[in-house]
Amino acid sequence: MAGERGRRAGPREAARDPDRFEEFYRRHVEKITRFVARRVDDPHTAADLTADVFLAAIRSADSYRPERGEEEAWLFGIARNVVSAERRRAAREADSGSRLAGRRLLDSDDITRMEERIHAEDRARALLGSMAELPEGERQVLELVAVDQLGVTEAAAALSIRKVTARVRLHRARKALAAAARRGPAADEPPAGRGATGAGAARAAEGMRAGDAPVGISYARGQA
Amino acid sequence: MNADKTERFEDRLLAELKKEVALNAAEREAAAGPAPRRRLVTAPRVGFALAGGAAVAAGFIVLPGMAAPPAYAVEEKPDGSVQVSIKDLTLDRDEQRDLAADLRAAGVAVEIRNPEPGTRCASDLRVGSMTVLPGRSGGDGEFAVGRAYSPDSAVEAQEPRPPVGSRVPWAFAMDANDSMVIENFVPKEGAQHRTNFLVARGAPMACEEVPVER
Repeated sequence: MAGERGRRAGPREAARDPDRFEEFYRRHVEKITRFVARRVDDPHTAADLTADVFLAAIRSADSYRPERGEEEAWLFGIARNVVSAERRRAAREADSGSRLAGRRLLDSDDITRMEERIHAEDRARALLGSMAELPEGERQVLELVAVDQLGVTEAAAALSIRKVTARVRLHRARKALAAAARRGPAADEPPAGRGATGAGAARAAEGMRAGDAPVGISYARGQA
Repeated sequence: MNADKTERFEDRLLAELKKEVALNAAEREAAAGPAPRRRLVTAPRVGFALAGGAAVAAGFIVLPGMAAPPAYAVEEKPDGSVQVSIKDLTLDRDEQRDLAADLRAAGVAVEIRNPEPGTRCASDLRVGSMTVLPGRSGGDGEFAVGRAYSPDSAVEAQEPRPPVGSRVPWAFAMDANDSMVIENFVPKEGAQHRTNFLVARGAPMACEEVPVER
């Protein structure tokens, strides 16, 4: 790891210097927008949330600890929390129409583009939907690994949990989904209230990303 | 640049965020302290304050790195042993499950037992055990090497056991083929539950529920 100065701007430097922030932002904006697009299907909300993620990153830059994981994992952790907060807000307010910010920066062409991006993530959203019945902790890990393509280490960092915990949760999630897939769509309510059914669930259990190439999400015991 | 319309949104967003960064930096300088977080509502940032405020100011976001200190730690050592440190002995059921999951991942067998009220598990002699009494979250309890509950050992285990309040965090090393039993038992109907942590060599013996004596 070279000195922080000359090279890439980390979150802390980025939050203090607009030029360094630009560098940081350009490095991550594409991935964050896609992350958001996998979770919402409205371009305005996607724009708001993308803005919120970076805003929260600026405000919480001091919480970043390089030893706990890559900055991308840290940022995905923020993105996850922002999306969750939005869901809670939406559930409470059922569209109060009070949102501002990101969407104000969209023109009609941007909206079209954002919609295309959202469409491109349709299958990922379906896959995420198929995980809905998993227990929260397990679903979070599986989402980040199988859908967002983080490694287990990065997923653990994004969720602020230990790597070993992430591995275990991932294992449990895969097992639950595999069992649900074997039972088939008619199967009902396994013991601990877990289980998802359908092709998406089966695919997740097998460790495949929603789109194309199969991606193994198996993990190794052992350490690093 | 013009052809990519999405870029335009991104560029506009970047411009707004850079203003936010500049204000953020000015705040820090003014405060001249270690990263104070104050809210400023100024004209250029109103849009973001509203949007961000919905998510950030309302306190719904738990940011990575801001989690509460863990109640326990499990660390796999290069020699294959597993170092366990329990800082808060009053682990709730979810935390017990997480601890169990972490230990299993490290190769340690774990069972969580919840015997019927008025009973607890008779078991074989253990390497060590810790009983956490209700209402003593500081970690008071009893620790005895080579003792665990069984009708027989209850008779012979009369020697006083030292309190462990000062021993928290309870730290110990286990081998990968050791086992831990976490037993939540209720001495009698209506009483508060107690948690017993047992450490054993090898696999845990099956639980045989016996009435709690005394």
